[in-house]
Amino acid sequence: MDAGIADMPLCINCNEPLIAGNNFCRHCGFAQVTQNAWETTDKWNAVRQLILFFLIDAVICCVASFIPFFKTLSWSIVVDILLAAVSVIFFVLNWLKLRSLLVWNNFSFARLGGYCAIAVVSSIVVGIFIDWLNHSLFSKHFSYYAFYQPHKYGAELAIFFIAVMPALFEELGYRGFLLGKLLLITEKKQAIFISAFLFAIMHTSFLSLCWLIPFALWQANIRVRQNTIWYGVCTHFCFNFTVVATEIWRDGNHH
Amino acid sequence: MYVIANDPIVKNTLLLTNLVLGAIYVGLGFWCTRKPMAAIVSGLSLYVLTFILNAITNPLTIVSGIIFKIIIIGLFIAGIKSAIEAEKLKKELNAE
Repeated sequence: MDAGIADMPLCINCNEPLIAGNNFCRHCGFAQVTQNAWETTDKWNAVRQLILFFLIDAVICCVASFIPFFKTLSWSIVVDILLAAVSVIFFVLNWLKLRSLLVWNNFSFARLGGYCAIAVVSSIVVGIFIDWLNHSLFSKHFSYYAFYQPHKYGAELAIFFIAVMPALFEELGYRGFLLGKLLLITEKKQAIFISAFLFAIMHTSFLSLCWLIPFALWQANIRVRQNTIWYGVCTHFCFNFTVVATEIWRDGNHH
Repeated sequence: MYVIANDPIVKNTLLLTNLVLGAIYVGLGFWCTRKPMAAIVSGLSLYVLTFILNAITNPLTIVSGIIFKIIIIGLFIAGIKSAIEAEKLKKELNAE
């Protein structure tokens, strides 16, 4: 009998013997979670990394969007490079856990074509809706291209900084690092929603939330389903490129 | 800000922004009972972003109500910790 008790595991709180397989002590009720303690620490470390990533991105985006001094082409390039560097640094810091996302598993032209076609069509629909909204609410026309247009190689710069850079580095940061970390912390649906919400509010535009959240949810779903960021990079590029190409074509025709 | 603003467009924009923010927080508050982690993290990030935006437009807002701001952020962080614990327990007990 004594030998049987001696073989039993002990409660980590009150040292009373535990019944094998029980997760809680029958004497004090304490949860026996020592084997999972590392998991909580790991999750909390992931939360801290996420907070740091979000804070850095938020400060850079807010400063660039709301301080007139930074609204020049040179500063815009610096800001884009900074945001790209932040995404790359956080991704590389978690290289071992996230590197599999850079592998393009089960590549399919049909799937890629389908996703890109949806991105192009939704970009056109969103563009028409936002144009109508800007006209109705503020009686003005807004164009991303207008910022780059006065400069030499304005169209090329607009395509590079509006379509190429965000497609690569926002996907790396938000669908790569951020969603990858969130999936370690919480369940799939919540992780997808959080990453989409953070991506949307980071654009600091209330009106855009109505299309940014569904777009980011779709992107996050693709990333989780395909387990790679490359489909997201391509669809993001197609979406943004359609916006810029439409503006270049329209503004070019006006002039 | 709403009271001291003279321009009606600024007034309306401020009012609309705060109404939307309030509606989002109310929505997140109700959603919190079903998906605590998503609701709390979204609430915290929105709060931090608003704080940064206010700090940029008017740096004095950093110190105004600083004690409440610290308490609110502290509660958000405690909420995230509790949500992590709750999800771990749910997983251990195989509960939905």
